[in-house]
This record gives sequence, C-alpha cells and structure tokens, in this order.
Amino acid sequence: MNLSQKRLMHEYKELSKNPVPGIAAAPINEKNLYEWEAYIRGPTETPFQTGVFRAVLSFPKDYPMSPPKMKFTSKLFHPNVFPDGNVCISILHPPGDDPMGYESASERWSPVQSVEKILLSVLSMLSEPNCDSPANVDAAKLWRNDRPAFNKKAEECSRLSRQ
Amino acid sequence: MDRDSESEYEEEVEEEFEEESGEEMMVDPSPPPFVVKDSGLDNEHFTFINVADIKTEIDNLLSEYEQMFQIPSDDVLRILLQFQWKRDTVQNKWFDSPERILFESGCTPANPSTPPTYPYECPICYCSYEQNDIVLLNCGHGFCKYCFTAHLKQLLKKGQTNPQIRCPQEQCTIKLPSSLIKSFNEPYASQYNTIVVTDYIGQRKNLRWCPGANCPWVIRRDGLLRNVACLCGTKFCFECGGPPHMPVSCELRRKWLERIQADTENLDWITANTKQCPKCRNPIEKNEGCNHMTCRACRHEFCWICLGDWKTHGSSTGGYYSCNRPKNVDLEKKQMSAKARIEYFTHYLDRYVSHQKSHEYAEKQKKNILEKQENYMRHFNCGRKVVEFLADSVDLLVDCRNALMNSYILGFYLAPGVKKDLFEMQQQQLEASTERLSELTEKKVPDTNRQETLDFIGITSKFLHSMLEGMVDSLLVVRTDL
Repeated sequence: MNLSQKRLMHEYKELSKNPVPGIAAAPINEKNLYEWEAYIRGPTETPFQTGVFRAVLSFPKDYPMSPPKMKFTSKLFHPNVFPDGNVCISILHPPGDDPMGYESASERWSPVQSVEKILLSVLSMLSEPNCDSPANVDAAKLWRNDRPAFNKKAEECSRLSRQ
Repeated sequence: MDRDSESEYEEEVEEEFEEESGEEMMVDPSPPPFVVKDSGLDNEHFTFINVADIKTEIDNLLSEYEQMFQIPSDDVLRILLQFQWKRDTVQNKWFDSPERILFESGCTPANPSTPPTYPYECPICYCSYEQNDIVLLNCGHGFCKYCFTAHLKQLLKKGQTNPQIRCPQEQCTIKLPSSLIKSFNEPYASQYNTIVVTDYIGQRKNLRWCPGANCPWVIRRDGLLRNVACLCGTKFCFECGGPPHMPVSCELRRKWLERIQADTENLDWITANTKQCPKCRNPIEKNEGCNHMTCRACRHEFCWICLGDWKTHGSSTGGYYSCNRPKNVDLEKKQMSAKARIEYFTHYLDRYVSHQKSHEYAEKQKKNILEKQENYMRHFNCGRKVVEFLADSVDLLVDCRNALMNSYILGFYLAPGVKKDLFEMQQQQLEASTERLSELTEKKVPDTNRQETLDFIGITSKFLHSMLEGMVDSLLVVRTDL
C-alpha cells in the first residue's frame, strides 16, 4: 500500500469508529480506496433538513498532497454547488496561490486536512451558503433576493433526495 | 500504523526530481551572448540586467538588514516579502515594534509552542517517527520529512508564485524559512530562488522581465520612456507588457481600443482598401505603405489619408503638411456638437487605421529585406556593410508607423492647448518625414538612392525621438467631452 492508500484506509477506520453525526462516508468498494460515497443529512432548521443527499468523493493518487473532488449525485440547489453537482468550497481548492484573491490560504486544502474536515465544511456550507463567489448564480440570487422561493426549491430537492 | 514503504516512497520522489532538474531553470547565470544593435528606440533609457545580478542585489539587501536589525537572514527575507520589499515600511515597522513585525511576517508564532514528544505522529501520514525524521517548525508543528518534502514539491509543481509558503497546519501563521526550503534537494533551492527573484522584480516598479519567449533578461527603466527593445529582439511596452505604443499611455490606448471595437461600422468603411481618385474617380487600391498616391489613370498625385493634393503636403513644394489636424472642427470649443464629435472621431480613426495598415506593410518589407539586400549587392557589386542602410530604413519605418498610429490615439484624447499644438507640430514633422522615408524604401533596387535614404534615416529618427520624448510627462490634459 502506498502513502495515499494507507492514509485513506486510516481515515476510513477512524470515521467508522467515530462517525460524524448526520454523515456516513465510506469507500464505494473496499478494493478501490480512491472513490468514496457520502450520505449527508440536511442540517436542522434549514430548508434541507428533510433531505439525505448522496455525494461521491474522488481522491487523486497524490492524496493528501492534493485535495479530493466532491460531487453530489442527488440534485442539490445551492449557491456553492454547481448545477452538475460539483462542490465548490475553499477547503477543496488546491493549496498555493489563489489567482482570484478570494480566499486566504488558511481556508484552503492542506495535507493536514481530512475527509472529516471536508464533510464538516459541507455541513456548514448547507447551513450558511457563501454567496461571494457562487458556483450556482441562480441559487445565489434567489437566496439573497427571494428566500421563500429559495426555500421552496431546496425543499423540493430534499424531497427528491429521499426517493 | 507504521510505514513499510518509506524508502520506496522516497525513491519515487528523488526520481521525479532528477527529471525536473534536467530542465533549465529560469535562474540562468549565463545568458546567451548578445549583439547590441541600434534598434531605433531609446535603449539608453533602459539597462539590461541578468538574473544573477538581481540575485546579488537581493543578497546585499538581506545582509544590510541582517546587520542593521541583528536578526537572521531568514527573518529579513520573510519581513521583506511581507512588506513588498518596501524599505520605508520595513524600517518604520521595525522601529515601532520588532516583536510585531516579526509576528506579522510569520517569523514568530502567536502562542509559544510546546516541544513535541517522540515518537511523534506526523499529522499528514499518521505514521510515528523519531526526532531525526521530523521537520519541526518554530510554531511547534512538526511533519515527517517525507510528507513535508512531498507537500513542498506539490506546491512548487503547481506553479507556486508566492514565496511566502505557510506552515501546513491549518490556522497557523508561520511562514517557512527560506533556509529550510533550500536545505532540501535541488531543484528546490533554485526554484525557490526564482520565485523570490520574480517576486522582487514584480514588486519593483522600475524592473520587469522581458516578455519574449525564454528571454533571460531583466529590464530596468532609468527614465520615463516606455518603449523597450530588448536585446533578444522583442519590442514591448514597459508598463503594460503589450506591444510598444508610445506616445499614448496604456490607459488611453485601452480606452481607444474598446471604443473602436464598439464602432465596427465606421471601422469597416475606413479599413476598405479602395478609394476613388479625387480627380478622375478611378478606383484606387492601396497595396503599399506610403500614403503618397499617384493615380494610374490620370497621374494625379494625392494624399491617401485626406485625399488632398500632394502638392500641399510635401515640404519640397513649399506646401504646408497639415493632414494631421481635423478640419472644420472648432477645436477651441469646450463642447463639440454631436456632428462635430463624429467628424472629430472619424478624423483620428481614419489616420490611426491608415498608419496601422502602413505598419503592416512595413513589417512585410522588413521580412523581405534580406532578399532586397542580396539584390542590391548583386546590382551595385558591393559588400554587406554597404547594404545595412536598407535594413535600418525599414526597421525605423516600422517604429515610425507604430508611433504615428499610436500618436493619433493621443491626439484624439488631448485637450486643445499649447501642449497639443506642439505635439501636432512634432507629429506633422514625423509624418512628412516618414512618408518620404517610406517612398524611398519602396523604390526598386536600381532606383534606390542610398545617400538620400541615409539622410532621411537620420532626420526621421530625430523627429521620432523628439515626438516620443516630448510626450512622456503625465501632465497631459485629456478631453472630457468625447
């Protein structure tokens, strides 16, 4: 086993021993540690609270030097999730320079971060969208200007996610 | 968990390093030998420095502050990087509070660290290590050297351009000391040096890399001129890095380009290659750079730009060359009418486009100049030294056309006044002289007049310099009613 596989195995064991409340994450197939699936329960007191969203995490071969990619396979209408399901939050951005100057390096991926930290960031993203650099502009506009309409769309996603 | 494949992992890393170090680094102490050639531009206003000399400049700065502040060179570098190499800021901050500037620059941690106990678990690979396998930073965060190296390598491979590299621990404000980065295998030291040098050059307003591909030269500006002709042959604007465009500023040029892009209808009409002879109405196609036209049908000589009689243009005929000033527009008026505004704009656009086209022709002439030189040598049975004037004349022509093209942008924006009058006088001299030079360069080999061409190279080059140098100050008054 190489470094990335060892580390992923270690993280998998840790997460099974001490799971994060509201989240279940594991390799889809134990033979391939580089593809995980995660089920995330919408945080309470948010329009996502009735939903359970499935996402896939794809790890690069040089993990943890580079971050994984995360993509929701359940439909999720959210300012920080691209319409195709890819998640755009700072912890998933590679370390080093930020060409746009939006994020300070401390919020970004560093090899000391982990799957657990990513999932916690996703939970906080669901509760508090960041509309400064949205991945889904329509969702960001609606969230800012017409909260009831946003909530309606979010609840629709939550309902669909359980089917 | 323990780690059984350390050596394997390390090997893999080493191997890739060798590959990378095989490539030439940007820090090359010995740039290729060069020949300084008078490019028709003002290279006495620029100094060409090689990277090794910049490196020395930085080292001198580091040792100066090392002695002044009595702190290690690592700390001096972190401070200089944090405060964009600004001597004033650094010195003021240091004398206000050394503790604070050291903290702000990531030299000292926010909280005193507790020494780790060994064996220590690396927070990246979760393996346990003894002390000599751990890289320990002064913030108390340690990492095994394998992970630490892999992390650094990843940063540099991804094109890190910021020399301030943070401790990998989240929320930690410590920046890695350069001696630590350089203590790892090559190419780290050289690559890190390049990043530092590039940062230094980027922060200095009077320094710039040549934008030419693989060009090793760094250019220092010693005056106010912006047109640089690098020793590698690349010509560019010192301020924006784009093509040279004196006498107009980067900002006005950008404004102009946006404006003419929005106005394609006018542009299409003006860029059409055919006009009618003003006398006999025969269609005339222009396929050379010179604006002195002779109608094939009626032999009438006229100016392509204003369609006026050429007799009123040439200084030899005693006429007054005034094609560069807009007619029928009351320039003194503060506010122009809508119709006058359109005429005013069209006047400058017309001339801009015309010189732009002539500039393209001149570039073509430049490309074919070797062939013309060969023909000349064969025809006049002379040596290579004699035909240098042919290349010099088209080189100068290219620069003049470019300057004239851009001068019409400046003319468009300049508010009426003494400065504009002076500028238009210089522009007019340059334009008249350039047209003559252009005519001379377009003559067939047997008709070429070497002495006259040499004379015009001298005169035109003087006019070019005086127009460019006359317009470098930033106090130009710009029209606001356009």
